[in-house]
Amino acid sequence: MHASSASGSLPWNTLPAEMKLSVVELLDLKDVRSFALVCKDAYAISVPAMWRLVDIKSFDSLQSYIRNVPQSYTRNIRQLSISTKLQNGAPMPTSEQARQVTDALVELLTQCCQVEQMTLNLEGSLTKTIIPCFERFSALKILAINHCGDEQLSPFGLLSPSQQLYPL
Amino acid sequence: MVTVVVSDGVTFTMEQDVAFQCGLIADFAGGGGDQEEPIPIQAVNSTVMRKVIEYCEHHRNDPPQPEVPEGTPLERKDRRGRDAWDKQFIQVEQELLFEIILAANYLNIKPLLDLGCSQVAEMMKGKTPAEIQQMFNIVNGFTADEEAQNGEGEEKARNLNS
Repeated sequence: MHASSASGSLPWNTLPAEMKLSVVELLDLKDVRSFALVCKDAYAISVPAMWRLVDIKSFDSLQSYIRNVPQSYTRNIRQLSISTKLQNGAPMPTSEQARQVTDALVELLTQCCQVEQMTLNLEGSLTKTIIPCFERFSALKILAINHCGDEQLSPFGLLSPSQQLYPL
Repeated sequence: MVTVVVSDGVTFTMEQDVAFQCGLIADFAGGGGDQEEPIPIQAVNSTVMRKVIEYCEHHRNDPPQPEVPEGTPLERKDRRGRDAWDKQFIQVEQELLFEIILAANYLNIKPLLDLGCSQVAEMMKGKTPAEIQQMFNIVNGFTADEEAQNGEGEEKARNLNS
């Protein structure tokens, strides 16, 4: 395959953006990642496809994601899986942990306006401030909430500001 | 019969069911009846138009494509209607392929547009960024710093998604 540089035309760049997007939509994630590194224009076109499916495996990853990923990318998420497992560090008091985890989740979830499938693997309780987030998920079709912590040590439920536990 | 005249002055006459697969021509010819004046199609040349007509003639008896709803899994979208004939038809030189895609878009022939795009996607499969750059004659606009960051970002993305 040889490019038509003789006429000075750049075949790929003759395509309007919407057709470039159609091509990228047909690629597997692995090929999208390759394509994204071709040039800046290609990267911008690849963002929606690269962010369609996001899997965040721990509370640390969640915090790092929030610090580093622009909101405009997060908006593209259709399938989201988040685990709030704490990787290292001393265990926090239940109420403090619930507050920190909930705050991080709220910050991310309020940006995910197109999410269709969501799995939350929670290590402990959340606070009630998580509730309003769910009003925004107009496209949500499948929701799974799992408990990945110790039911004895970190029971599962929603904490009110006065720190009483409301079972889910 | 419908007659069109393309950018290099060549005229093509075809039957209505062939011509009307082009949404643009169907809209232009509107209420039916034979057109007296050829329809001007300035954005397409005769080489490309010949390919387009070949495609429309082959597919003249196809049942109408059902609308694919938003959010259909993409693999399924890709496979629809891509039979052996289509695969053979779209095996063309890269420059012509891109011209066919542009013509299909301009003439509003959705199945041909999809076929062209899926062929481009096919060509990119399994290629490295450098190979794609070379194939499509794309100039890499990343600075050396950004290249290094790309490497890191890749790593992060893999960790996040692995």
